[in-house]
Amino acid sequence: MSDEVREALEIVSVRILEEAAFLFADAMPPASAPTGNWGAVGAEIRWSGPSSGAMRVWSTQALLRLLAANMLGVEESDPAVNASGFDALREILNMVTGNCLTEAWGPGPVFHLEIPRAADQSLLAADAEAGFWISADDHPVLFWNGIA
Amino acid sequence: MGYTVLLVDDSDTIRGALVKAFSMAKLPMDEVVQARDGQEALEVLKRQWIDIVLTDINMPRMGGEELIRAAKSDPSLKDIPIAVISTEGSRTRIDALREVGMADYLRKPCRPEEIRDLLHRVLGEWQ
Repeated sequence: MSDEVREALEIVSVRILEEAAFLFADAMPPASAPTGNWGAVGAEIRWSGPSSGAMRVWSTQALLRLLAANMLGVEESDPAVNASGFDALREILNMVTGNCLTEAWGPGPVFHLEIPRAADQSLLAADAEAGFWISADDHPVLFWNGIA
Repeated sequence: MGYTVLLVDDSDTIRGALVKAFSMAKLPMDEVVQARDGQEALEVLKRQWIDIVLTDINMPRMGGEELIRAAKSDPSLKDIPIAVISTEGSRTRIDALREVGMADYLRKPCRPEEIRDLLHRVLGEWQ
């Protein structure tokens, strides 16, 4: 990741998780990050404009349920949470990416964001090496950003 | 009597969060109608009274900018205010949306009081 985008991502991802999903988020040292098969679920969004690239987010089903519950303002036991976990993750990625692009490039350039979709699981290991880890209410969240 | 609002977003979570925000902001709501994209929104607008549309930009089939253009070119729909709630941060893009008829704009994530203030700016203070 470029330093500018990495810095923007570190600031924006924590802010969005706090503001949109009411989670306490902070950077996670790589040494504390999960390894092996940690049951990660991922979403990806691509953008084009003055630069083109992609961003991915990975986390656990437990965090997806928490995201959905907090964003909808319901208990985790609410039936709506079961169907909304991945949608909540996609929307967090959408908000992080839109805000991150403005943070990194300023409010002038126009970027086109595609609709977020499921991430290819085969990319997880490489993303874990190159990405940025945060802890959100003690759940691991991995962000990866690449510029074409 | 209160507002009749049409929420247009392809995310069930975002529509649910906005409904929750209306409640937290204690906004007087008659009805909150929901659509998943611009095409569904146009169908709603043609069959029932809506005070204001709150729409996302990036959606499948028909996005928010196309929805605004379509509504503003239809004499029966052109006076319905359409505000955008989106992750868009480009001043250039927001200015372009205003030029095609966007009534107001909020950036996601937004707080309940920001949504309340937007409705007051566009529709006036509720008496």
